[in-house]
Formats: sequence, structure tokens, C-alpha cells
Amino acid sequence: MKKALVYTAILTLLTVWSCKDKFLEFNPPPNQFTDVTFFKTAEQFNSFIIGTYTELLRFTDWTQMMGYISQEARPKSTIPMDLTAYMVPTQDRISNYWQSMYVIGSRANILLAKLEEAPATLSEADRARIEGETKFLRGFAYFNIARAFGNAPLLLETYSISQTTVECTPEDQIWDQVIADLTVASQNLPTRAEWGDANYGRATKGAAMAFLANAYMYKKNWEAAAKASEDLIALNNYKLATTPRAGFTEALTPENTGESIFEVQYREGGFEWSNQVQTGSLIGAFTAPDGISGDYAPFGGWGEMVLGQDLRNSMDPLDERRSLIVREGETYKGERMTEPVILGTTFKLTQKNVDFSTKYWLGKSGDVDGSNVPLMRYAEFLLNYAEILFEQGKTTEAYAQLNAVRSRAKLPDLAVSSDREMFMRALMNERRWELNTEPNMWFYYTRTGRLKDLKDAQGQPYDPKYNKFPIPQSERDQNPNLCQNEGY
Amino acid sequence: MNEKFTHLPRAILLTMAFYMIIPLVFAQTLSMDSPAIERKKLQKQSLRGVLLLLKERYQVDIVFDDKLVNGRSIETDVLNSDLSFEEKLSSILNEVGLRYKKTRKDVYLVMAPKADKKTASGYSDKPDLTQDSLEATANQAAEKETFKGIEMQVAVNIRGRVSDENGNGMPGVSIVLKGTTIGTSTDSNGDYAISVPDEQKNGILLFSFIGYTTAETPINGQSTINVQLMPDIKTLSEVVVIGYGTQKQREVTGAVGSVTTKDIAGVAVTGLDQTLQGRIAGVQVTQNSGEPGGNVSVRIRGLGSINGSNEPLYIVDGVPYGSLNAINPNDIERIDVLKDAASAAIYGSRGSNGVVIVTTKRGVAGKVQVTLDAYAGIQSASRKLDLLNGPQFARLANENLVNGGKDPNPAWSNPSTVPNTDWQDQIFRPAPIQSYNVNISGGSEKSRSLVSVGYFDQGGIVAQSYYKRYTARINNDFDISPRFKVGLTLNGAFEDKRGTRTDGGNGSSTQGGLITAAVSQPTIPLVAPQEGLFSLNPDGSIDPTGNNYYGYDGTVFVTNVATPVWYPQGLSHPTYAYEKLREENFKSQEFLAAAFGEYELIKGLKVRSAINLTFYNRNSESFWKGMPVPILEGRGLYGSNAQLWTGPNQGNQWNWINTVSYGKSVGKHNLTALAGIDALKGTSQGISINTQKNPNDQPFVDGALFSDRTVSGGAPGEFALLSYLGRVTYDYAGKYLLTANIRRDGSSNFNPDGDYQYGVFPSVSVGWLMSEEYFMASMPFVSQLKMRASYGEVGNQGIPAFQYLSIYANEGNRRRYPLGLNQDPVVGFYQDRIGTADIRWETSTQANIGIDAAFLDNSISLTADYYVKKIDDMLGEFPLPAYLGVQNNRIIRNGFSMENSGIEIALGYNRQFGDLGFSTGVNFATLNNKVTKLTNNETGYVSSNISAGDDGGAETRTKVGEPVANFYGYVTDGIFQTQEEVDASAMSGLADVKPGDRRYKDLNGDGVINDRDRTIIGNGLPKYTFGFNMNVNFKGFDLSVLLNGQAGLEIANQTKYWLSHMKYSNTAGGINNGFTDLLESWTPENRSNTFTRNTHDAARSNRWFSDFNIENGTFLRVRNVQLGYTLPEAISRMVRMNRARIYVAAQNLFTFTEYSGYDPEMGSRVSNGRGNALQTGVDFGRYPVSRMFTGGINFQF
Repeated sequence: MKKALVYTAILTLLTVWSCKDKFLEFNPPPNQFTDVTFFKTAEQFNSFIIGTYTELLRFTDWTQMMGYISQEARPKSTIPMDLTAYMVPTQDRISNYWQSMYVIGSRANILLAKLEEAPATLSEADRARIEGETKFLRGFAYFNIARAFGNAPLLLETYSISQTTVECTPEDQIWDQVIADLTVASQNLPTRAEWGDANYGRATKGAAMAFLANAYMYKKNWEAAAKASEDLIALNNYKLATTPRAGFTEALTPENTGESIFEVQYREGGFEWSNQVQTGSLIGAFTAPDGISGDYAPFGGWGEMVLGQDLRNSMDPLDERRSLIVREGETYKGERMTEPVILGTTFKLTQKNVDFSTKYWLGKSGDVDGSNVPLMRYAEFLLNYAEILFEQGKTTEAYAQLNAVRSRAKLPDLAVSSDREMFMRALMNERRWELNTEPNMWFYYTRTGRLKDLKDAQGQPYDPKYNKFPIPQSERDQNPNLCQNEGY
Repeated sequence: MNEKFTHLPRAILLTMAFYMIIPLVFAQTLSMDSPAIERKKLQKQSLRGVLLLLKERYQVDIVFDDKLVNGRSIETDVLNSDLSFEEKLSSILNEVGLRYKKTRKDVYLVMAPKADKKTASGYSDKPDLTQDSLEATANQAAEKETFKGIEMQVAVNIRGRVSDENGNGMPGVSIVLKGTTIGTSTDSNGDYAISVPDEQKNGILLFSFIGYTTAETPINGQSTINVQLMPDIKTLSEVVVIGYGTQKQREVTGAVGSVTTKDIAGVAVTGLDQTLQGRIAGVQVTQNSGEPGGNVSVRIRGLGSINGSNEPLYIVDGVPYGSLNAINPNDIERIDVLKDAASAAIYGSRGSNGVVIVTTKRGVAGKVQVTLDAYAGIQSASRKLDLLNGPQFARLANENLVNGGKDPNPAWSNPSTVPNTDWQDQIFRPAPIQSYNVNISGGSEKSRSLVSVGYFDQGGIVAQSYYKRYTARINNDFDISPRFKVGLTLNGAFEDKRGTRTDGGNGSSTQGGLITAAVSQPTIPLVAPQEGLFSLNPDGSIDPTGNNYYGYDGTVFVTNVATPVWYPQGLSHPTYAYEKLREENFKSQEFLAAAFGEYELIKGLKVRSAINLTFYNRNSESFWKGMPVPILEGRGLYGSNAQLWTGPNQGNQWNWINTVSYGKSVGKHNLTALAGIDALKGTSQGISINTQKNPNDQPFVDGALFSDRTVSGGAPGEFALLSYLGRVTYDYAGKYLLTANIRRDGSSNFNPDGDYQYGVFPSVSVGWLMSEEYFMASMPFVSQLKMRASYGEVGNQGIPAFQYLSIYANEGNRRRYPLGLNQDPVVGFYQDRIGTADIRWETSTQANIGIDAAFLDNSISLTADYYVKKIDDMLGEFPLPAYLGVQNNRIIRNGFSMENSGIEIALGYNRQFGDLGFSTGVNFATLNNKVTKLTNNETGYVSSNISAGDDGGAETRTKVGEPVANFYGYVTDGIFQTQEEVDASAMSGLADVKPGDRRYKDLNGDGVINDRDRTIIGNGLPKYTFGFNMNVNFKGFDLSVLLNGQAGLEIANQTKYWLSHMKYSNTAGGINNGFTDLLESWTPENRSNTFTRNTHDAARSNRWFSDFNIENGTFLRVRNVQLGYTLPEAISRMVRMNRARIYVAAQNLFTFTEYSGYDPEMGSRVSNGRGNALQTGVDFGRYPVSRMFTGGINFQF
């Protein structure tokens, strides 16, 4: 009896917790979304995609950085002016660019991984759209990485510790991935009309096609580039605005009309210092002359992006785009444009004889800082298409695209010529007049190998290494396996 | 990996092997018999040694009275003869005129010659006592006492009562007439009666009880002899509480320190953690804030973690406890601290920071006893800073302005007439403290109860702070049958605390009360705030127009100009701001119900089941009252609106522990085994509410409260721990000791997918009680000598739960993406934290060797330990390359490592000289803390911001090879005396540097002073901690003294950031008060190498964080002095009291230190309710510990 008691007691004790696995199982707190509760509905996927778009906005350097490095624009103060200072592995602006693009890529990887695990209740239509939009974002991110850095890590999976030691993927393979992603995006994404008014601003089928065409240009696959461009034109969603300004600023209400293909969305009045709400840009303030008061920029003009006078000087007097540039000392909408104040005693460079781009000034609305930044607009698409056509030997068609942009600026058509250098110089000038201070300008020079021409024209030193950004030093400190571009 | 440590496990194994081998060698030597040797004369051998040798060889017990044996020796070598054992024994004893009696098989009693017996006919009312007690003694083998029988003729009857240190009757005390076999024992009330032969009426009675010092009382013909026994704190037969059981102190092989109720009686403490202060070597107790009920950190053998918890696990009567203040210190019977891994391993994943086991008092059978303990007293600040008074301030303030090229302030132009307010006197005030405890104990042999009720009320010496606690406890024990025991505990506690913010905190704010008071201009007159409205002119005089107000936070501002001007900009009115405008409240209710049942199934086999339920309800609120003045533009958050942050938080926990234990002795082999399952589950639910924009300061009760509120939290947190545990102890003859523990813990904190939730924590410890060996017999002055060695592994799972899951958060207001035709900002989600699937507990491996010794009849005791504690898998932030796109480019992973090593020594002396009882103890510990691994990046460091403002980036840095949280800053190099020195220095490029400004060393020699010239300038972790205590009692008087201290550390005195300079802001009135050192400021005429120039345009670099801010943090504090008097029983009996003691005490009476701030007992800055290890030893104006004088009573009815 006693023994029986003993054994029973011991057995009971030992078996009481045989269901131990359940005992330690808990749901995480419901006030937080975790892997257990997130990515279960289309809305959750959607909000994560929007969070990914947000990174476009968090990278605040789309115009400034690209403007500076192409040397069309200069800061007023101590930010390094010339490429010897700018193109260094410790340059913050370069690492910010690197980081933002990789954040977009990483978030896209999370989305794609979670889409595979998503519950069956997610409709096929939702799946296709989510995949398309996500692959657009990832394609766009690596598009930016490949064209800036060349060889770089290509990550297609969600975080794992092994990623901390990866090596660079050759640039060519990155382009293949960009093309693969953008191809899916161009198939799956809705058009602007299909998105509807509420979703204006998101990536569209046309945006995917425009970047796909551009990506093929890096691969020099002109056939495919032409095909993607034709697909875009066939959508019949885009047209040049009536005036150069309309192509940029005045038509921006509502934005995303005919000429716009893909833009970073900024909100008018959307910059609130106190709450650090960053839905507005400060591009108006950056580009306005120092000391300009309220009307052009609610935050004042900072004169942080001044143009050299050579740009306007190079323009045909007939060119309507000249009116988008205003010269120091001139009067613009009743205000005299002033020379930027030079700050600091160590910075001796004179900044007299400068111009200002008024592209981002929305006039006297007081809403200057809502200017969207175009990442791709139809005018640029047409200039790309012109290049594609010319490379295919379709000279006449190529000049037709080029002249379309010229005629909008009230410039006479150029005569068709099969002279390659003549066409390419014409294209370069046209880009400079049309797209100055816009984000893609720099990469046109590096892609086409015309950076030296630009530097020569500007009388500044040129080094072949400038064709690629340096991989940020902080990254190579963390992962010594990372490559570095030649010359850095 | 650290080279030294690689060899450590081997070193320990060798040491352990050494300990094991020595006794074996001796045993071997002994068993090499040489049968052929003849009897021959040898050198003299001590009788005692020979007897022990025989005992050893023949595996018998030989019981003898030391008095018979000691000092005698034999010369004949019979040991190696071929005689039988009994013949040998007989032969040996004959040689010295003794004999033996075989009391049982294998038990031999050494006795005086038979001749004595003839004259001694047994006379005793308990004739079997001798035999019984000797046999019992013999069975225990450790007892060495025996008694001679003496014949008596006439009896004298003696009666009396034996009481313990608290005056409670002690049942079961044995009373023996010295030198005889006559004896008895006390009954359940502690009363006794004994008859002694008439010829012995001037004999001596011996009163003895295990764990108490034996009293020798001369009879002197008295017929009533009452005796009070005092606990023998150092006696090695003391029982200590270890995890899930108890162990005799003599058998303990781990490193365990203890504090008992008598150590802490009458010491005014808030919580039981404070009672450990200065008592145990290697246990550092620091009040992180001196405010009543303030945070206390306990570090057992140093820091156990960088990012996780550093607090030990508290087990109260077997229940894990989070809220220590819910335990009334008066209810504590004893506290045992498990310091080494071998002892703590039974608590597995919670044992890494050591375990504190608290045992509360339980009911004692007997008539009902009521104890009243009460004290009351007064507290005050023990130190004030040496600051400028009004006239001094006025003179220096204008000097500061004029030197800086500004106009002097006319209000300060005549220093002799300015107001002179001492703001420190305003913020400090004397505060009362009182404590009342009633304790009722009693019951029958089979049903015992203790009921205790307590009230503790401590006022704060700063502003409005206070702490009150109400506690009640019931402990019941029922013996349902001799085999079946049941116990029940109920404990309830209410806490009511009001704190105040004294700490200036990080950043430029001076929002702490102490700092605000210190920097406030003494020329501002002291005006009583009336309804929050009173009026001052910019010069501080009262403004009859009423246009100038103290603002919302007490800031003085001026409204009668177009744009409000703050005057002095940003400064608050100290008493107004901290007394009237803010409340930091904490209220808590906590309940515990616990029950256990224990049944002895068969002899030695016990099954025990315990269930513990706890419930708490806590609410912290921070209330800023609004100012009934118009809202001012530009005040932003600090308008006249009241604001309330409140965070009710509830939780409960159950814990079910089932254990089976078995003990068995076979011959000299003693074995115990324990196996158990411990399951614990808890939930908590918290919410935090912030409301503002209320029209005035009262309406928090109506709906208006919630008109503009944000609510966060509200999530239930859940937690479970499931553990399987086992322990085996084995000893051979009480000499060779072995304990092995193992625990397997499963924790809900970790990933259920994969093998992450469960971990196994083993430990082993061995001991050798050398004093039991025969060869120690020749050293009678050694009462006890034990060598110990242990090795074990424990964990720290005190990390936030669910780290293995990714968290997705919305970008909230900060980042939205404008979409749609109207570009409405849409809130997106992102991955806020990436789940680390393989996150686990931190592991700590500890090796310990130690020695316990007692000398001269246990009057001197020594415990010494050396340990090496290696903590691996510590959680840390690992930087990641940005291309991974992980939020903040960081991930929390296991992987940091740290090592602590140290020596701990405790020395005690305890002796009774007639009426004078004296005991004293000293403990001392060294601690060497070193980070051994941080990230995969060798140059990496962990930084923590300790900046007081614009001080050039004050931080602590934690680097490999260094202790945690080094202060990191500039190194001063005197003061610039001439412009040439400035121009020639590396600081010439810095703004405003002129003669009279501080010079820093260009450590990297690049010709420029910038943040790369910073280096390690100190560390806030003490390398040495020590304590000293002394107790003296003489007749009714008792005196106790406790000192503690620490050395080998620095304090970063950030109050100097504000007080070494007068410029507060750019405005003319922007002058703050400072140290009187400013009187010796550098001037071209009065050059100084210590004090910078006093001018409004002094270089900002003067305030950079440097070795100027670093001070020696060594201190020795007279923690407690207590003088008591116990009334003679005759008097206390008259008022129907068993015992009446009155006492006076002083706490924190003196502090010996070089530190110039308020209080060198700095601890760590508290964040999220616990001390932040990375911010240790930083003084932002910490609430100082108060000096306290109390008077109290202990009455027993």
C-alpha cells in the first residue's frame, strides 16, 4: 500500500506537466503587431507597402545630392563642392542614399517572403498586385543601387546573420534582377486609371515600363528597351504638358497628370517642424535665394542649390526653359534675386554670378515645400526613347522624340542626321536644359560615358572613378568582404 | 576567448581533485597495517589523536569528554599490534587510568575510572539521561561531550525559565549540572525544574541549545534561575536555507551568506534588500535614490549583465517575489544569499545574479505572545553644497556680466542690500519617520500561528516626497499528523509613495529639484506662492502690478512685454515647482496567498507540494498641475494646462512547486536526494494614459480628463516558466561532502520553434571538513575547518519577452506618405524590430573555492572565498551593415561576454566575558569586472549618454578589456594663463578661448582639440566593498554599530556642469548660482590653475566633460548605531511584560568621503524601474540618503 502510494505520487508529479509545450506557449501582446498577427490581410500588406514608399521620402537628398554631384548646382556654404571631396567613401550623402535604397529592397524582401506565407483568404488579384508593386519597389531600389555603385550586395531574402558577410554581386547580375522584377511589375501593376484617384502617387504599370526600358539601356539591350517603351506609349496614359513649366511645377496641382510617370510625393504644407512630420519637402527653400521671404518658401530661401551661369548661357534665347532659371540681381515675381550669403570664414569661394532654378517654386501659394520630385517624367522618357531608337538605327524616329521635347520648349526641330556624335551631343544638351537639377541627370552622364565631357565643359578635374560612387566605408568596416570600386 | 579563463575549468578540476585526494591518501596510509611489529615504546602520542585514529581505522564511534582526554598522552604503541580493537582500546585507556563502556554495537564511551563510580550512585530524576544522551550523542558522532556520574545525597530544587534573545520562552533547552550527569530540559514554555545535590548547591548550571551560545550560570544557592540565551551566530551547526530545502551550515559546500533577524532589528529600512547592506561580503547594496521607498540595487558579485537585469532572484518562503517592499522587514527571520553558481543553479535560468532567500518568522507553540516594535524619529539632509550667498552672488554675477561685455544688472549693484535666500534650505526639510509593528505568535504543538501587522511611514527630506506602507501577514502551521504538515501564508501590503524629481537628467534641462535649488539666484526673495500667482520684477523684486508670474513649472517669466521673456531664462522656482506643481505618485497593493503540504510517505521520503498565488495592482502617476494664468504663446507644451500621466498596472502569478525528497544514512554514508517540478505562470496588464489641455488643475475626475488623451499599452503580458530540478547531497562521515544540482528550465520568453525554450543548468560542489580528521586533533584551537570548491552554470532570462518575433509598427505621425489626389498622408507600417529567432538566456559560469574556519571554541570565525564568474551570451546590440535594411542598423543578440572575479573575506569574533557579550564582524570583498567580448568588431564599444547639457558629449563607454561603463571625456591640463599659451595650443581654433579658460590635452597629438581627444577618465563600479559590525551587551545594555563602504571607484559629478559656472543663458539675467569656488575665479591679477575665469563670454569648452568632473567615490559610512536597554525582568514583569527594551538609534550618522556632492552612495541611474548598469556613478543631483535619529521600543507581552 505504502509503495503504491509512493509510486502514484511520484508518477503524478512527473506527469502533471506532460503537456509542457502548451504551458510555455503564449500569444504575444495584442497591442503590437508581430509575425503572429501581421501580414494576414491585404490591408496589412498595403500598409507595409506604404511604409516602404515612405523611405522614398525619408531620403531627402533626391534633388540636392544629384544636383550637386552633377555640378549643375552648388551649395552656398561648406558642403563640399567638387568631386574630389564629394566622391569619398565617408561621404554621408552617399551612405544615406545607399541605406535608403537598401531599406526599400529589404522591406520588399519581407513583403515577398510574407506573401508566400499569406493566408489563402488573400485574393489572387491582391496577390498579383502586391507582388507587382513590391517587385517594382525592389527593382527600383536595385536600379538605383546598380547605376550608382555598380557591383554591390544583391539581397533577395529576408534578414539572416549570414548576410552580414556577403560579397558584392556583379553589376550585370543586379541588372538582370532589376529587369526580372520590373518585368513582373509591368505585368501585375495597375495603370493610373486602374489605381483610381485614391491611389494616385503609387507605382503604376507605366512607371514599371519606363524604368524597365531604362534598365535595358544599361544592358544595351535596345530591342527590349524599345519594346518596353512602346508598351508604355501604347498605354496612352502620358503626354507632354503644354509648357516646360507645366511639365514641372504649375501642373502639379493635381500632380501626377499627363507628364508625370513616377514622383516622390510631397505634401503641400506637409512639413511641421514640431512634430517632425516629414510629408513635405524643403526643395523650394533649398533652391530659393538666401534671404527670400515667405512667398516662395514658407521657411525662407536658403540658397543651398545655386546654378552656375553657364547653364542658362548655353540655352537658346528662344528656349522657353530659360524662363525657369532666374539670375542673381534679376527680379522674379516682384522680388529681387540676391546673392547668397557666404557663411563661415573658412569658405572663401565667391558665389557671385549665380542663377537659381525656379522649377520647384510653386509661386505665391505659400505651399512651396510640397513640390513633388519627379523620378521619371514623360519628357525624360522620350529622351531615353530617342536614344534607344537611335541605337537601333531608327534615326528619324529618334529625332522625332527629341524634337517633340524641343518643340514644347519652343525650339525649332533639329534636322535628322545619322551622325552619332551630333545626335548624342544634341541629346546631352537637351537633357541638360530639360532635366537640370532632377535626380537622374548624373546617371545619364555616367551611363553614356559623357561625364568627362561635362567636367571638361565645366573646367573641373575629371577622374574615371567618378563614374561609380564609392561603397560607404562604414559598410566595409562592418563587412570586410564587401568590394570597393576602383580608385577609392 | 580570454587566455586566463581557458585554463580555469581545468584549474578548478585540479583543485577539486586535490581536495578529494588528500583524505584518500590519509585513509590509504592508515590502512597499511604492519602486523609483525612488536609493542614498543614510541614518542608520546596524544590520547585524543590515538582515539581518533582508532575510530577511523575500525569504523567505530568512540565518544569521549574532551576534559577527560585532552592533555593526556600515551607512550605505548598498541596501534600496530595484533590485538583486537577492544583490547587495544582497553590497553590505551588503562595507560592513562581511564576505562570504556560499550554502549551499543560499535559505540564506545570513554569514562573515568570505576573507583569514582563507587562513590557516585546515580541520583537524578531522570536516571536514564546519561545513557540516553550519550547514546544520542554517540549516534550523532559529532558530539564530543560526555558526563561523569557523581553520587549525591541531598537535593536542592531549582526552577526557572530560559528565554531567547527576544525574551520568548525556549522549549527543549538542555540543562546540566556541570561535571555531573544530572540534567533536564525546558518545557514548551521554557520553564524547567531541576534538583541538584546539596553539595552541589554552589555548582554551575549549563544551559545549551543548538544555535545558541551555552550559558554557564553559578547556582550560588538560588532557587530561581532565569536565563536568556543568545544566538551563536557563528556556530557551524546553524541551518541555512538553500533552494527548495535547508542544509546544515557545516555541510554547505557553496558560497552562502546569511543575515538573521537580530542583525536587522531596529534598523530603519524600507525594504528587505536594504537589510543586506554591509552585512555580507560580495553583496553590494546601493540606494539608487535616497528618496523614501527609492530604488535599491543589489549586486551579488558584481554586474551580471549589461543590458539585462542585474538584480538577484528573491525567494520569499519559497515564492519568487518581484516586489520586495511588500515584505515587512520586521517579519524576516533570516536571509540567505546564494552567491556562487553551485548554490544558485537549483534556480537555473534565474540564478545568474545570485539568489536571495528570505524566510519569514513563523508561529511558535506556547502561550500567545504579543510583540510590539515601534520607532519614530527625525531625518535631515546630511550635507549641503557650498554655494554663494546673496551678496557674494550679486557681486560675482555683475562681475560675470561686465567681464563678458554686458551691462551690469542694477539690482545687483549693491551686494550688501540684496535678498539672501538659501534655496537649499528651502528644498530640504527635516522629515519624520515612524514604524509600528505588532506581532502575535502562539498555538499548540500541532497548530501554530503568527500574525503580524505593520505600518511604516517615512517622510522625505526633499520637497513633498514620502513613503507609507501598510502590511499584514499570517503564517500558519498545522501538524495534522506526525507525518503530515500543512502551512499557510497570507501577506498583504499597501504602498503609497510620493516621489520628487531631484535629478537634472540628461540633456540641458535643470528640471531636477536639487539642481534647480542649487542654481537658483539667492537674490530672488523668498515669497510664499499664493494660489500659484505672485509677481516679480526682472530684478527679483516683487512687482506690485502683478504682471510678472511664476510660470507653469515655476519658471519666472515676464508678460508685460510683447514677446514673453523668460527670466532667468529656463530657471524654475525650486520650491514652487517641486512642491506645488508636480506630483510623482506611486500606489501599490499586493497580496500573496501560499499554502504547502508535506507528507512523509515512508521514513526519509517526503512529498511536498506548494502553491503560491500573488496579485498586484500598481499605479504610477505623474501629475503636473496647471497654472491658472493665461496661456502664453511660445510656451508649447508648458502652457497653463495641467498634464497627467497615469499608468495602472495589474498582474497576477501562480507558482506550483512539487518536490520529492529522500534522505538515508547507511553506515557513514549519508545521502539526500531531491527532485521536483516548479511551474510558474504570470500575467500582467498595463495601460498608460496621458491627458493634457485641461482648463485647470482639478478636473481629472470628470469627462474633461479624457477629451484630449493618448492611451497606450493596455496589453496583457504573459509569462511562464516550467522547471525540473534535482539535487543530490552525499557525505561520508560528515567529512567529505558533495552536492550536485541540476535544473532544466523552460521559459516562455524564448522561441518555441527550435530548441530555444529549454536549457539545462548543472552544478557540483565538494567540501572537506578537515577539522573532523584525526590529525587535526593536535590543534584543539581549531573548532571547525572546512574547504570548499564549486563549479556551476546558471542563466539570466531577465530579458524582454518575445524578442524572437519581429514587431511591425506604424510610422505614426512622424512619417506618412501622401497619396491620392489630395495627397492625404497615409500611415504606413514598417518592421520596428527584427525577431532574433535564436535569442536565449545569458549564461554565467562560476567557479568558487572557499574556506570556513572557526577557532577557539567557535569564538573566532573566518570565511574566505575566491571566485571567477564568466558571463557569456549576454544580450547586446550588434551593429549591422546598412545594406541589410534593418531598423536602426542594429539587432539584439546574445554574444557579449564579461568576467567578474574577486575575493571575499568575512571575519568574526564572538565571545561572552561574564556579563559582557561581545561580537564583531568584518567583511571585505574585491571585484574585478572586465568585458571580454562585445561584438565581432574588436574596436567596438557600447556608449551611453550621461551628458548634462552642452558638455562636449559626456558618455560612458564599455570596451573589451575594460570594466563596464568607463567615463569617457577630456583630460584637463590646467588653465590658460596668457594669450600666448592659447595661441600656441591645440585649442587656438576653438571659439572664445582666452586666458582663464580651461586647457585640455591633445591626446591624439593632431594639433586640434576635438572629440577624438577624449579617453577613459574613471569608472563608477567599486573595486572594493566592505562592512563592519559590532555588538556589545552588558547587563541590560546593548550597543550595535554597522559601518559600510566602498573604494576603488569614481563618480562623475555632473552637478559641476551647472555649478562651476554662472552663465545660464545669453540674456542679461541668465546667471545661475554656483559653488563658492567661484570666488577664486581666475583673473589676470589672481591667476589660478583650478578655477576658470568668471565671465559671460567664457569659452563653452570650459564645461566639457573632463576629469574635472571626476571625483573619488570612496566612502565609509556609519550606517547604523544603536544603543538599547532591556529592563530587568523584575520590572517588566510588573507591567505584565516578558521583556521590554528601549533603544535609540542613529542612521547614516557620518560619512567619510572626499566626494564633494551631496552623497557618494550613487548607484545607477534608474530607468524602467531598474538601475541602468551603463549609467553607474553619475550624479545629476541625486536624492541623498538622509541622516536619521530614532528612538524605539521592543515590548513583549
